[in-house]
Amino acid sequence: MWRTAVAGATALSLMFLILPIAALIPMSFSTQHFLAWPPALFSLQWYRAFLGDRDWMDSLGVSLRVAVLATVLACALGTPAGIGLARHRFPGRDLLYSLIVAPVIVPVLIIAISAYLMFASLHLVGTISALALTHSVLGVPFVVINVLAVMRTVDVQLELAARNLGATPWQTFRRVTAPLVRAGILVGALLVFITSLDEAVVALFLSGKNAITLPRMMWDSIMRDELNPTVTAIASLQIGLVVAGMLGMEIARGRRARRAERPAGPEAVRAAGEGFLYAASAAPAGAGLRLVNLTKQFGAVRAVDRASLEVRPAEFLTLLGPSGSGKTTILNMVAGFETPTEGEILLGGVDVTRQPPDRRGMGMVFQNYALFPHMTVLENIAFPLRVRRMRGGEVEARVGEALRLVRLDRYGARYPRQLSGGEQQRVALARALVFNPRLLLMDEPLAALDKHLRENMQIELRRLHEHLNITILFVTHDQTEAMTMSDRIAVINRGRIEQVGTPAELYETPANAFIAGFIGESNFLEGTVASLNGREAVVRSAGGLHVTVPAPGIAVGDRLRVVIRPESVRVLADAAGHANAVPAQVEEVIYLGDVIKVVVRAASEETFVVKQPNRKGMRAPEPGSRVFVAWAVEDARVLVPDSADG
Amino acid sequence: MLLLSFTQHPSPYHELWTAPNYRHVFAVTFQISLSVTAACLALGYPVAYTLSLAPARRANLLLIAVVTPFWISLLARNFTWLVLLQRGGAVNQLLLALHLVRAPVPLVYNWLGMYIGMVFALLPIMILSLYAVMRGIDPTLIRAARNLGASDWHAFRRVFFPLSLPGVAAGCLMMFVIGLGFYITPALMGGGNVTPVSMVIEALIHLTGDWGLASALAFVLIVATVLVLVVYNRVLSLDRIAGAR
Repeated sequence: MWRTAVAGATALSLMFLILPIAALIPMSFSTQHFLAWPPALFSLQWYRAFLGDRDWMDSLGVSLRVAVLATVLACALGTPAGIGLARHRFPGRDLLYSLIVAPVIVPVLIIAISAYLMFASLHLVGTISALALTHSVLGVPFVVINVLAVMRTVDVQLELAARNLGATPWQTFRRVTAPLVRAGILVGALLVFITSLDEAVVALFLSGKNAITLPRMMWDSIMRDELNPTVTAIASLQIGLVVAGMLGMEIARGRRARRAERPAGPEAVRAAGEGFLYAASAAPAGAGLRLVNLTKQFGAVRAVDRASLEVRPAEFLTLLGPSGSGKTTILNMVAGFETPTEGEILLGGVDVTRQPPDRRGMGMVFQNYALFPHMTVLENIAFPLRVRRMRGGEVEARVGEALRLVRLDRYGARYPRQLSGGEQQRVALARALVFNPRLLLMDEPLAALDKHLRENMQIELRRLHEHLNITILFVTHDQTEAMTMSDRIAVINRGRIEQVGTPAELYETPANAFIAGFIGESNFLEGTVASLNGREAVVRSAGGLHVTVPAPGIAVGDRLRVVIRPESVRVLADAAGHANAVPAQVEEVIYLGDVIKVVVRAASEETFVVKQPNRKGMRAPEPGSRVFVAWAVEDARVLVPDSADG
Repeated sequence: MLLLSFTQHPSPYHELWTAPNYRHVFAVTFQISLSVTAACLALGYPVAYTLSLAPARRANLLLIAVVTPFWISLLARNFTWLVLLQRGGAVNQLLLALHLVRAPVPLVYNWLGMYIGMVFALLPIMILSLYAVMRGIDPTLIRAARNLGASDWHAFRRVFFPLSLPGVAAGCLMMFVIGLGFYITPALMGGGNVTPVSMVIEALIHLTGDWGLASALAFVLIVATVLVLVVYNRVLSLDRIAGAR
């Protein structure tokens, strides 16, 4: 019922829109001068009256010249304005925008009168330039609005990526921004052209006697003798032109799509079979990176706080931290997208803190890959070489090598949107590696992939790193990912580097409670040292438990935190012969396949998580049953809670 | 032009303010603009709604139909309507054939003709701005509403319609502002029987050469337009603060 009503109303409106146009075409072939319905067919006299008439043809010529001139003017003024408005914040920006788009709101009649007054004082009424200038004022908003709209869809990261790959600001504009905005300029230009060609009000005032445009002619014709059918012939010709233009565009688009689908030649296919590490490129070893007291302040927020870090040449170092911890800000400062508030960045011993991104020679893989959508895979990978003005032959050789490296030999002619997420990821990697960067930066590059693909890519990256001997600074929030790939990990929290170490060091000797909780799971007990006994101490917990811990450098009365890893704890039926055995009740048993996780609660209300390896013959305790949890003294780790408030 | 309107003596604003016929002219202009906006909304909303629900291919075809009028000159569009609506035109013939009227009725060179012409000229713009917002409404929301027990009508009334309101607001504003300054269609299809501000301005210049008064009228028209924009903006942001969106 509802749907029928909507469909009916829609059909009615569409008929209202289409019927007059449909009626127009037969009328243009009518034999009569007085237009009635149905028209008496068939005659071409009205087309002859238009095409064979000097005045009509002259006016068409004037209109075309005005439209072309107005379009060129509007684009020349509107494009820089649009890009500037989209990318830069400056005082008076909103005012400038309002001024530029004002002609959309002000009635054309008023613009026409103002223009007439202005051009009359300059004795320019009746000239093509006066008409074109006024039309371009009407047209600039179309260009600006369309360029702005397109700029909004152009990811800023694409421009950053171009800079990172070695393009100067001008190269970035010419090769990345301009081609991407071209669609917006074209749409804007088309609108200006059509508007100018169809514009009658301005022409009414500015045409004078010498620059009669086509709409002005039509206006006069309609006003003078009643319903001259020549107008229908003109309109029908317009429809014909538009349809032809649309068909042409459709055909062109189809051809372009087919060209992109075509696979590469047999040679490339053969090379694809030769395996992942075919291209043992003799790249120079990576450079070391040193961050000294790096700080970044955003307003009142200190995103990065005096971060110091040394990445050794050819090392795989991961910045690991929760979201918002400042790790991406560090990466952006290293790449040169952000300027540090304080501190230094040294690459291979050279201070690069103030260098623009394109001079740093660092490859970067962005989280969303930032592949240039208007370039094929080949062109994307060739980009860093081309902006470095490398010769064509060498570009080809290097790009081929890079494609083989990531096993995408046959995909060179495709566009990024025709690739899967994993393939896009590998293109981004090839593009970042092809110019032998001294350092490879990776910003959560695997986050968008599904779990299985992600695990494969982790292993591939690891192998690639060993093979290419390159320095990698990797950013992730996933501790498993960090531990799988890294030589060393720097854990970041609230803008500070909390600890740097190998995965084993971080896990076995966490510097504080944040790391103990972030890298793997931990049981925490807070308490005070009750007594010392040689190399051991007894800690009385907040809940009243007494536990024995190793005692390096602590005194009676110290407040501290005891960390016990879940896999160090065992669930026992009785407490006999254990230094640390706590009576508890089983709350939950979770079956995870490789391990069984047991959550117990002690009488002191403190809970413990226990992880038992799932071996044959092991029995998981029943929920609710009374048990003991126990651990060896040396498995407990003591933290002074001063910095351990994470 | 602004200068002209302020420097002339006696001040044209004085005449504007005292002569009742100019106040009437502005009232007519606002009335035309409002009616055209309302008609465009009523005709355009169902089309945009259908477009936003249709599968991509069909939506594209419908969209082409919606923008067909743009393919030809505004003058030719008005001309076509003049031919169709004239005394012996197709519409009158149809009405006669259906015995709805006994003699041809005047459909053009009057208010009705002007309304038809203006709605026809502005409807596609209304549909496009409604569609732009509706396309952004997540279809899952409608499915969620249906799943939660809402009928087609309720899903529309409670979910789709409120979400489409920004498009309605933008479209209506655009219609109204364009309508205020529309010149060609009233001139051609109103046949001199309807006189909005724009036509008065043109007549003052071309017939009496009174540039000062014409400029004053134009200035008042611009101020009125800007005022509408400002008020609209204020009201809409108030809505947003109240949590309508």
